Amino acid sequence: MSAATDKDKRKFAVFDIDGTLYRDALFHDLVRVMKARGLISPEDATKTDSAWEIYKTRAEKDAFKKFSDLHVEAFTNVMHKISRPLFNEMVQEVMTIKKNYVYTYTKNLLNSLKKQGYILVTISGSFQEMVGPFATYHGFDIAWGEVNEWGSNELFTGKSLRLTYKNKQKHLQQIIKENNLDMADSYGVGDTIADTEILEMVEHPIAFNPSDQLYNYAREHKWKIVVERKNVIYELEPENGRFILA
Amino acid sequence: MSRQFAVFDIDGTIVRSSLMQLIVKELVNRGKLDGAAAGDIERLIHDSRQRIIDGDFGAYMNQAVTMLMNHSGGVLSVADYEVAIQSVVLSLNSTTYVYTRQLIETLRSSSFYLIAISGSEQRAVNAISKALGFNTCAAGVFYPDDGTKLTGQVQRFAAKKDEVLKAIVEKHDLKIKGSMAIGDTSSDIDMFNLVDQPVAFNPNQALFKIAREKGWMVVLERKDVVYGLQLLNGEYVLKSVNV
Repeated sequence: MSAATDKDKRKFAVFDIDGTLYRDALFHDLVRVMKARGLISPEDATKTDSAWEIYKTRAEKDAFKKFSDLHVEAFTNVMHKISRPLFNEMVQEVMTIKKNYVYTYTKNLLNSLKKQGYILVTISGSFQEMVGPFATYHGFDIAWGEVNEWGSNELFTGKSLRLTYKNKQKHLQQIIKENNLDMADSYGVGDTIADTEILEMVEHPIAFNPSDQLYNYAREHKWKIVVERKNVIYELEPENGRFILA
Repeated sequence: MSRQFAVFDIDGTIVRSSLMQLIVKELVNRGKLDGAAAGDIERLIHDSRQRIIDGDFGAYMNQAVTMLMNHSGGVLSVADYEVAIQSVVLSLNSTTYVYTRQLIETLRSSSFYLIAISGSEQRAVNAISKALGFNTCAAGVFYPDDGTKLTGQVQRFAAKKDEVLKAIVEKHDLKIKGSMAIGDTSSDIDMFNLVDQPVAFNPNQALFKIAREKGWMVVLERKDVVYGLQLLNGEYVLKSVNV
């Protein structure tokens, strides 16, 4: 048998999860559950609540990022106290309630590409323990989330084994190489500027419900833009220097 | 010289959710309604969505007041209800859409006569409209009180949005040319047919379908982006929205 040829390469599509497939953010949901169980410090809880109010007024740029970063801080401040069984229980709680809380456009696109034989990949900044089951449930073949080391005492050691909220391009390159994936006819879907580096790699990038920065980037680079609002899907295709509603 | 006007729907057009949801949240925060109330109103809105789409806002408002009665042990004082409304007014910056808020400001500085027509309850509609600088407003229902507390009854105002608008336009001798209407559901369609420039804002399916057929402007606000979709030579083109 000769070495793998281009014919053996498999088509792929890469999706972000939070805000792209999933209507919320898995990591934020976990912190919400922790808040409800009194596991987050009152100070951190207040900070995230205030940050949410500021985001709602849309008065500050990067307000959502600040809101998101505060969740990371709130979790990091108490993670040394979270046992593995408790962590898994809370993850289960989120999954049970929210696993079908997905956007119609993205879910339909996923299903359609899967039927066409695409390998479905997701790289998400949320924990592998959440990303893995969520992605499997929705038909993904490869799911990379953040991996943190558990100690033999069933507590986090504090060591990160893989960070996926950044360097998505490097992660995708590794996935492509390891799985012999084909760049030709590849698709990518994301909703924030953090997804730009992987969207730049694929043949068919799609900015879905983009944040302001990604929206401007997509317009400049003539990427397809899709907005889903009140279950109406708007597909904006670049054409002759403008964007037309399909 | 007669004045130009702009008419706005409130729920889902100016405020992101609905006045009732915001009021319930305030009442729960103040301990006037039990905690289950917030979940109930959300479920009510979700279940009523189809009926709201079909224009039966009234039925939803009837169920809303019953729910208020159930969760307050039948004793919701007018004072508490009005205090909750005032809290909603004070936090409008974080509960309203940027596009509509800015549009209201722009039209007000251009001396447009501003009208708010809503299916929601009169006290709430009056307070929100006044706070946002509307010249006049019209509500869909009123919750009667006995002097101290809400009775649990609902008084429905029979006139539809277009009839209310017609009456206001005639009374104040307003100009149709250049007039605008902004709304988000099919219950706003009759009103849209009366103005020069209708804007379907974050429309539901039914409104979007009609808007597309009639070539009305569509504006979306999603995350921190505002999209203007305008009909040009038979196609909808993305345009920047200047407010």
